[in-house]
Order: sequence, then C-alpha cells, then structure tokens
Amino acid sequence: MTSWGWVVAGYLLTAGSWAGYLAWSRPGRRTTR
Amino acid sequence: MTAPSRATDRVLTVAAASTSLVALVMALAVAPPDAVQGQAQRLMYVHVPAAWLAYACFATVLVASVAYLLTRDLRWDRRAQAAGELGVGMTALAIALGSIWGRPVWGTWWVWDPRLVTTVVLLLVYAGYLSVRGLSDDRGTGARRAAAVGILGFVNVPIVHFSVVWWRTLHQPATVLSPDQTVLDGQMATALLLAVVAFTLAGWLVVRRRVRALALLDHEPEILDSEPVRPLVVTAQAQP
Repeated sequence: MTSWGWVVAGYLLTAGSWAGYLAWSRPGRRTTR
Repeated sequence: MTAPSRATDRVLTVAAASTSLVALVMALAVAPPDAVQGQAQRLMYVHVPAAWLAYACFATVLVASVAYLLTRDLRWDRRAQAAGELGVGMTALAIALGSIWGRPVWGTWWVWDPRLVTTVVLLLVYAGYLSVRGLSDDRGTGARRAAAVGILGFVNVPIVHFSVVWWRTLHQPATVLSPDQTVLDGQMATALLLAVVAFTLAGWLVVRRRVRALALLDHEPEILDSEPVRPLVVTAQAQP
C-alpha cells in the first residue's frame, strides 16, 4: 500500500470511530448501565 | 452547576464540525509532507489528538472522582463515567492509528516498546475502571470503587507520557510538549493544533450527551433548560 493508502485508512478509521461514538451517545438511545 | 443547555450542544456541534473541516484541509492538503516519513506522517494529525483527548478524559475522571468522593453527588460520578468511556475509546483509537502509522514507517504493526506497552496498560486500567462499576448492585458502592480506581489509575498517564524519555524506545519523543523545545513546521503545527481543538470540542459534546443518558438511567433527568416541563393539567367536567 502507498503512504497515502495508510493515511486514508487511518482517517477513515478515525471518522468511523467518531460516527460510532456520536450514534452511541445520541440522546434518547435505549441503553443500560 | 447549571442545567445542560441544548443551545450549548448546538454551539459545540457547529464549532467541532467547522474546526474538523478546516483541520482536515490543513492536515491533508496544506501542511507539507514530512522530510523523512513522507505522506505517512499525516497520520500524526489524528493519532496525537486521539492520545491528547484520552489524557484529557482521564484527567476529567480524576477530578470528577475526587469531587464525587468529597460530595457523594452522583452527578460527578456520571461525569467521571462518561469521560472514562470516551477515554477508553480514544486510547484504543490512538493505539490503532499508531499501529497503522507504524506499519509503513517502522515496518511493523507492533513492537514491545515502552510507549506502546504502557499505553495498553493504560487502556486495561480504564477498561477495569468501567468494569468495576458493575461489580456491586449498589449504585453508591459501584461509584465509590470506580472513583478509587479512577484516581489511582491516573498514575499511569504521566508514565505513558514520559515513557519515551525514561526508557529506550522506538517511538519518537514528544514534539509539542517537549522539554527541549523541538521546532515544528508552522503549517504542521497549525494543522495539529486545529485537530487537537476539533477533537476536544467533539469530545466535550459527546461527554455532555452521555452524561444526560446516564442521568436518565439513574432516574434523575438532568433536564434541558430549553425544555421546561409542562405540568399535566386534568380538567374534570360534570356531566350535564
């Protein structure tokens, strides 16, 4: 993989992590302690 | 302590999104590639902010845990838990991004290096911090034990940060919070600073949201100040 390939992979992982956390912390989501 | 406001959430959302966008352009297009590492160095603009936010979250856990033990107010415990959850997520992200960065630059996904190992220990300690809450059915006991782990666990943060100074390591030393004042290229420094601000604002937002969700679980809704509770009015009319 090229250097840019690693960069894109890292940025996609970051974006996915934040999207997941935002969805998980969404107000009103049914959750348990 | 004021009630959380939806207006503050909106301001944080706009600020985090716009800062992220500018940081992304700076990091991927404006900042030059590194003289040694080439394009792969651009992973710094997400790896370092993830690690920074993890440190900030664990500092929040420390402060909120001390406040909980002093006041026994569950609002402090919920803040500590929400920050602990994000801190664990950001530590895992920093490790994963470090691994992705290590593959092209070091030639390996993983090495048994002091910085990497101490960071995994940090992750395990705070995963334990979140787990210890569930060991007791009593809410107060769980919160008290978690606060103890949250305070003692913070000892690991300076160990992780200074591991690159104290021990022989493959990981590069700190560039920004460095004792020898290494000079970072101006555009690189701007991109990194913006990314750190973006991560911090987004982290603040999600912790606020999570604190409210946890309050609902405690049956103590931290009611949004923009949403006044309307009293239920029941009118009874006698049949004619």
